[in-house]
Amino acid sequence: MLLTAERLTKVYRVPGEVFWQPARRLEAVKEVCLGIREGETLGIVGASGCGKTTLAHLLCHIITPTSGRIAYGPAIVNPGRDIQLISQNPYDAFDPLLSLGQSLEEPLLIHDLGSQRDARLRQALADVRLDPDILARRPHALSGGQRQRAALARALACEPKLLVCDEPTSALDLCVQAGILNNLTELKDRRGLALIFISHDLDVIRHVSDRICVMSSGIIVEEGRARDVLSRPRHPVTRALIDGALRP
Amino acid sequence: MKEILRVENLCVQLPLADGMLAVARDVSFSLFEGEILCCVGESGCGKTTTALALTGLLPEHSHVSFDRLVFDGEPARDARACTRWRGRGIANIFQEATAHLDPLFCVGAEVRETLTRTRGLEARAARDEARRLLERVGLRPAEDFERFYPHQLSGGMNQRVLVALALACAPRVLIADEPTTGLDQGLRRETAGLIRELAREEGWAVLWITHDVGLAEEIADRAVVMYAGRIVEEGRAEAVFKRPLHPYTQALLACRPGKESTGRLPSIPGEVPNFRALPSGCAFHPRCARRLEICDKDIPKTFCQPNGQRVRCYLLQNA
Amino acid sequence: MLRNFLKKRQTRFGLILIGLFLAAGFLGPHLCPWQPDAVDEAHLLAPPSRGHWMGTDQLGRDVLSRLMAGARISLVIGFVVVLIATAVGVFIGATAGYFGGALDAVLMRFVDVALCFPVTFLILSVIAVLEPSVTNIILILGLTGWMGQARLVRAEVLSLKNREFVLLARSYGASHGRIILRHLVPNAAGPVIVAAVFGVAAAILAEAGLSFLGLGIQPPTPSWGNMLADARSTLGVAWWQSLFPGTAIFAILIALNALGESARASLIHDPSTPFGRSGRRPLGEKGAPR
Repeated sequence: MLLTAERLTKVYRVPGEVFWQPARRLEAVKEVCLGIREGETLGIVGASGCGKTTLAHLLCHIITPTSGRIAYGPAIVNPGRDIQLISQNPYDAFDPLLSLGQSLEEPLLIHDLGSQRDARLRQALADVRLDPDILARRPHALSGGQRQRAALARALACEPKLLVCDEPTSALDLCVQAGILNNLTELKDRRGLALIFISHDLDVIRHVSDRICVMSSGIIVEEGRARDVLSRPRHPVTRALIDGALRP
Repeated sequence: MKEILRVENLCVQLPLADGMLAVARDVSFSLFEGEILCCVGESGCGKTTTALALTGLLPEHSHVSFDRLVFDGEPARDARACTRWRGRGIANIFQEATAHLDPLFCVGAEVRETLTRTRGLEARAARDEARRLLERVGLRPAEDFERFYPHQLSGGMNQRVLVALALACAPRVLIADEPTTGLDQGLRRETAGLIRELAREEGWAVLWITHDVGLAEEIADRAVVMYAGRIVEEGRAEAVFKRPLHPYTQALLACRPGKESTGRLPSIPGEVPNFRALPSGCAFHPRCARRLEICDKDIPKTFCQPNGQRVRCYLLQNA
Repeated sequence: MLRNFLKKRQTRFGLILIGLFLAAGFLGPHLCPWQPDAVDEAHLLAPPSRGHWMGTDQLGRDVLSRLMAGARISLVIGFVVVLIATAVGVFIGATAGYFGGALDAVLMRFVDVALCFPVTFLILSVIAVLEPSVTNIILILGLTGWMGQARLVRAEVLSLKNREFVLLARSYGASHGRIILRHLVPNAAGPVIVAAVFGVAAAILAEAGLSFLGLGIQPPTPSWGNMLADARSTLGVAWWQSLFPGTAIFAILIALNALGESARASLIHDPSTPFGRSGRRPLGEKGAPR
């Protein structure tokens, strides 16, 4: 087991619209329990607003849970290095003032891997099929697909054990999406990466996942092997998602 | 079926810092009453620019030229006609509905304002008609919904408000530019279904622009595929999506993860070309697996197939 | 962005003018035959002549040399005040914006309180207690001028801290300090730089005003403000005594304003994305056309 989430909960307090109204509690993620093993791909699927992104942020330490915890297995020594995130909007994934080289080396510098910078970046860029000369360029000179690949390279440079992908291809064209999904599958095999793949697109999830969790309103309503959940859905939300997928 | 809009050889040039850039070239298509024509293509292929050109919403100093442009029997002499038609015969709905509604007005007021402006209705008549329209697009009960502000409604509901605004214009043509992108799949289906139903009932000719091939397959009657500013394939939806003839269309449809696909997805090598540096001849030829000698010499003409499909590819030249 | 800024005519105009003042202030006194304090008894209140290009004041001191010495003082005060104000403002604003919550509330109330201080009275009190030296004036102006920067930086940081690249940095383990210093502050720099340029103008004007009232730089050290004060009594008879210092103040303010306006135009809107610095998709790619 790489990590186990135990009853993760995140509650936001939303102030009332006018000052005398009491604050509302928004339970973005409620008592979520999940686990992921080495080399496995876990797909998390659900409609917009179901809490998928909040869950991704919890798993990557961007926000702290209100209750519950994440237990790491022995393979995860340093969560900041061994768990990496790629996000939905490739157009905002990089600091616009820094060159790509500076952005890509930042995680290495933070985790004291600066001495191996050149070798690691070269390997990572080769893995995502990007030319090393993009390191000198600034993010705005790249297309969406290239930026997402560069973000992937940044994540891979630290040689993580787990890659959390929060809707990485939603903002990209079909062909570019195909290229990135192929890349991820290849990397999974070559580097033994575990993936947590979050999407609202059932077809993509079906394609990449070994296991699937279906989320709705902050809770996991169904979980199991990908083939089973998709061919014999038990929860109404899952059924609705499958019916709503637009493929004849 | 009655032809409502006919476009022949539309060319659009956008003003950039270093000169004009041709973004759409020789675009020709027709819209028929009650039918949905889906324009499919990837980012930057020129489909949005085409839509904006037809509604007169391009940036200042853009240049639009065409051989023929006929709307409801009325030929246009120049692109300024499009600005006249906007809101009076051609309605638009766009992506990110919430951004297209004035946050200071409740949605009922928006619909009422459009009714007063386009149909000249009096206050009470406008109010009743606004309620009827809101109910028609599924926002029931209208008395409650009309008092909401755009930020209080979800993206899907705001998109329905835009559809209601389109209804209010009583248009002949609806141009929908990615109206369901960003919405959930279930919502997407509902909104698409709503627009299709209204198109049939009201006799709208719909131009639906999308990059979502799956959605296009589901709702289109006819389809048009664009690449690098030109239409490369055109025909009845079933023909284009089930038996695509142009290599680009075939490759695009093959990219989708489907029920059976595992392992590698086929993807098109290379990248969509920059408009500033288009390849010679057929813009797709550097990435095409079946290119011929002739493909990099001249831009292929559109060749008609016996079943009515039209393809811009030398492979189909002798059909 | 920077290249755009430097190419504009307004920028070049402003920079050249300020360059002239800087040269006058720092090189001038070495080139000039007269010391600012030196008294030429033969030419009291003399109009501009070959010996005194800008004439002399009622004590026989050369106006041009006093003007150049005053330039140095004004520029030094202007820049150092803004340096202090920006440093304090950025620190407080960035901390408040990034950490939010109680810290933000406390710091912003502190800003509100600081804004209530009437600067003139504060200076009067300080001068009553301490001597009105250049250092003290710089400190007072600096420590009462940071609040605008703080609010600006806080607003920028509030909108920047939820940008995707910041969240990603947090996810790969970047410390708070690294995020603030390396990512947030540089990206917030646009409005801060514009405010700083206008701040230099404001500081110079403030110092001139104080010196004019006798609360700032004390004679015999020349400052444009106290030169104008000396010229008050001779307004009708010696036009050169008030015109030159007045024009100098006017000119440097014009230069700084030109620089500030041109900075505002080029640094606030980032031309590499048509939507500005918001990180949204450019026109023509998948996304809203506007």
